[in-house]
Amino acid sequence: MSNQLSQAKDVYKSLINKKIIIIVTLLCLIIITLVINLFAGSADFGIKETLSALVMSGKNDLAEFIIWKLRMPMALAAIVIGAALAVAGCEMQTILRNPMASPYTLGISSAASLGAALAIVLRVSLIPVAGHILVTANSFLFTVLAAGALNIFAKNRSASRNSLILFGIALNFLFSALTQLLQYLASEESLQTLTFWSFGSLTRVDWTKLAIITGVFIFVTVIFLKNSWKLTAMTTSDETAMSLGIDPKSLRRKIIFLVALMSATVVSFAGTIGFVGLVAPHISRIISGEEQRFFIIISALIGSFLLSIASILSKVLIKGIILPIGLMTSIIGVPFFTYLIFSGVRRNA
Amino acid sequence: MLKIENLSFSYGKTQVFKDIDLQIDEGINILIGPNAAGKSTLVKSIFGLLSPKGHISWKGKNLQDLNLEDRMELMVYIPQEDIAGNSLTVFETVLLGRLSSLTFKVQDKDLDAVMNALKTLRIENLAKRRLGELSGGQKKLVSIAQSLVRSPEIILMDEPTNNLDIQRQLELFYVMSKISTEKKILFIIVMHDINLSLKFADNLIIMNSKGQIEKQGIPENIIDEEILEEVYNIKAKVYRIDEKTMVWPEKSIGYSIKG
Repeated sequence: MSNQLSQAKDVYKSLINKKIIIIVTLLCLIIITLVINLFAGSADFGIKETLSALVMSGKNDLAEFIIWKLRMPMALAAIVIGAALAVAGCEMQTILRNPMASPYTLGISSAASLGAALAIVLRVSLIPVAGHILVTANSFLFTVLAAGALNIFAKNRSASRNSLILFGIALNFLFSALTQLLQYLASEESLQTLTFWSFGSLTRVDWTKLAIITGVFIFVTVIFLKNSWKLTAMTTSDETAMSLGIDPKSLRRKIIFLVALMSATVVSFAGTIGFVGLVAPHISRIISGEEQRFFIIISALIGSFLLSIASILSKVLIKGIILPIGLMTSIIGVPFFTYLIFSGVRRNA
Repeated sequence: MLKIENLSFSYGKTQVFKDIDLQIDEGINILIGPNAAGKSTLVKSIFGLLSPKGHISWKGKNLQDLNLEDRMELMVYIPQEDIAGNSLTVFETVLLGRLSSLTFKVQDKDLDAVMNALKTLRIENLAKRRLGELSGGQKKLVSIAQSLVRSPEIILMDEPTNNLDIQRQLELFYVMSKISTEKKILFIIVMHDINLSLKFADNLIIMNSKGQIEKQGIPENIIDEEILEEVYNIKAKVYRIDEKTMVWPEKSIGYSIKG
C-alpha cells in the first residue's frame, strides 16, 4: 500500500472511529433506558416479577399483560418515534439549510391537527372509515395534502429555500386558524378529546401501530442513507451541490415528501411530540458533524434516547399518572439544550 | 482547445452576451471586464448551469451534447462564495468531490484521491479540521482540492481572490499556475483585479459592457491605455517593467474626481 493511501486511511479512520464510539455509547444508553422503561409504571412489579413476565413464564398473567401489551409497545414506540422525528428533523434542517427547521416547520403537524380536529369535532372525513381509525386516517391524509401543496410550490422555478419556509409558515397559520375555529365551535366533550390528541402521547401506540411506524421509519431512513453523500453535498450550498452534479430542487422535493410521510405517520398515531426533531439533529451536529451517513444514524439514536428518557419521566414524575410525553420532551429538553448552546462545546452549526 | 462559437445568452429580454467567439488553450486564462459585462454568466454557460444558444466544444467534442455526469467528469465550477457546510471536516468536504463514484462504504481509490489533492495543495495538515474553523483563503484551497479529486480537464472559477489578503492571493495563483502546468488543466478565472490578472494570466480575455469580447491575448500585448478607457471608462497609465505590465488608474471619466 502506498504511503499516501495509508496516510489517507489513517485520517479517515480517526474521523470514523470517533463516530463509531459515539454510536456504540448511544446504543448502550438506549438499551439501559429501555430496560428502565419496562420497570417504570404505576403497577409496582419487582425485578423478579418483571423478568418472569418478560420471558412469559405464565406465573403472573397481569404482569405479563402490563409488560407485553402496555409497557413494551410504549417503550419501543419511544425509541422508534424518537428516531423517526430526529431523522425527519435532520433532513429538514439539511435541505432547508436552516438549523431552526424541524419536521413540523412546513406546517406538517398543524395539518395533522386540523385533520384530527375535523374528524373529532365534525366527524368529517375524507375517506370512509369508522371508529377511532377515523382520526388517525384523517390527520394522515391532511398531512399528505399539505405535503402535496408544498411539493407543487417547490416545483415553481422561483421557489428558494426561504420562500419555501415562508410558505410553510403560512400553511401553519392557516391550519392552526382553522383548527382553532373548530375548537371554538366544538362541544366540551370533543374539545377535551381534541386537546388530549394534540398533546402527543405514546399510550395510543399498540403493536400494530408500532409495526406500521417502524416500517415507514425503516423505509424512509434507508432511502436517506442510500443518498447520504448527495445529502452531505446539500449541506454546502445550492451552487456547490449543482457543481457536484446534483439537482438541488428536485432532491429537496423528494426529501420533503419523505419527511412528510414519516412525520405524518408519527403524528397521526401519536400526536404532536415536539422538540426531539429540532434538538436531536443539533446535538448530533455538534458532536459528530454533518457527514450524513453518521449524521442520520447518530441523530436517530439521540432522538431515541431523548424520547426514552422522556417516556420514563412521564411515568414516574407523578405516581399513577402518565403525563403526555409531548410535554415532557420540551420540559426536560429545553434546559439541556440551553446548556449545550451556552457551554464550551465547540459549535459549528 | 475550448472552442466557443456564436454563443448568446439572455435572461428573459435582457441580452447578457451575443455572438461570442473564443478559442482558449490550457493554462491560466483570466476573464476581466466591468461589472455586468456577463463574465460570470459566460463561465456558468460553459459549465452548463445555464443553457445559452451557440456551440461550445472541447477537443472537438460538443459539450452541450454531453449529459450532466460526463460534463462533471470533464470540468469543475467553483462559485464565488466560500464553500459552506461548517460542520464538515476538510477531508469529508474534499471527498464530496468524488460524489459520482462515492459508495456508502468509501473505497480506497477515493481516499487516495483525497490525500493526493490535499498534498498537491499542501493542506494535508488541515484534513481533520472543520470548515467553520478555516480562514477564507484556506476554504478556497479546500474548494480547489475538492475539484482536483475529480481530475478535471477544465476548472472554472468566479473571483477566487475575493476577501483574500495579498499574500493569500499570490499563494493561490502560484498554486493554480503550478497545477495548470503539471496537470495540463485549462483554467478560466473571472477577476476584477487587473494587475493581479496581468501578473498571472497566460491569456487575458477582456469583455466589454456590451457583453462582447473586446480583445484576447498575452496580457502585455493587449493591455494599453486606449483599451482601458474603452472598456472601463477610466484614464490609466500602463507601465512596462521587466517584461511585466502594470496599470495605474488615474481617474474615472464618468465622474470627475478632484485631486
